[in-house]
Amino acid sequence: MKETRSYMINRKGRTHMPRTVDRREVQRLVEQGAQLVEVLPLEEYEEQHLPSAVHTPLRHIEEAETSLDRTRPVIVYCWDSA
Amino acid sequence: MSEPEEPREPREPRHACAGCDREIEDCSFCGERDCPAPTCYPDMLIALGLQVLHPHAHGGSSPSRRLPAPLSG
Amino acid sequence: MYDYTAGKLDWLAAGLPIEGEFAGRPTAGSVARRDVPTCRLDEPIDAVRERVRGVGWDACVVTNQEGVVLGLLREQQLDAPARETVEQAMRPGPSTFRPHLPIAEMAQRMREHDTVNVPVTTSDGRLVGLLRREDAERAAEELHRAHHEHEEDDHVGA
Repeated sequence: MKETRSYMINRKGRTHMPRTVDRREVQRLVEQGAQLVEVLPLEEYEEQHLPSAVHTPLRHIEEAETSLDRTRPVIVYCWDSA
Repeated sequence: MSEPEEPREPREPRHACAGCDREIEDCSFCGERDCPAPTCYPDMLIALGLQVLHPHAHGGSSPSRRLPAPLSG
Repeated sequence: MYDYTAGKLDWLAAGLPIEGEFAGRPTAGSVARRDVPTCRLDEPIDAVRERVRGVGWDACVVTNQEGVVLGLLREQQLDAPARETVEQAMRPGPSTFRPHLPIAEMAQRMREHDTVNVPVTTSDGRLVGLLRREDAERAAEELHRAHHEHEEDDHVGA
């Protein structure tokens, strides 16, 4: 996910600092209506993904933001922190 | 008059990982020293998909895409 | 925007539910026996032995109050002298395995290593259950048979 973080920070010259959350915070945020986005390849997403997560390849994350509900928080995730 | 040689203790046979030949105390999978297929901890993590051998440049693809061949028994 | 940096692996290792093609597949966590007896470090081994065998088991997992696995008692350890405590008799710090591991992989490894049973725990060490080799092999065989039948159906339909 290092590339994800770098992308978000440098996008359009503005600084976007995604906040790191752990598993419990993910569950709490989802209960409150947050949207989950998996950025792994589609085949891996289709095999298994977090409940209610949608799929967006990392290279399309900027376009995906326009299709997500902007009134709700977005949580992105990958396989692990490597 | 030469000094008598000190008796040498018999060396224990070397215990090694069946996959990479790294010296190990006991098998990381079963904890047994006399395991038929002793495995070191790093090899066990890779074999079970808990760690990747070569992390993906993207930083996230699951290790099942890049697992080496299963360890032979 | 939030970043769940620990990712899908962390979620799976915690034994949390998933969606997708793998959702219904047997894993170490789904096949592990949750009714495995447990005991504490300070219990006398003879009392534990009697209790474990009285319910038809030949193994017992040693846990603390939070359910974190500390050790394992297999047949050999259960036969320890009566004067010993669980802590003295047990195998400390056994290798544990995460719930999301595919059952076919686990069955293969247990066969290769001639392992009778292994504890399955979440990523924070809490006991999910004890995976017995016979259960793992049976589930792997059923999965293989189901996959084979599915492939044959596809071939016939082609």
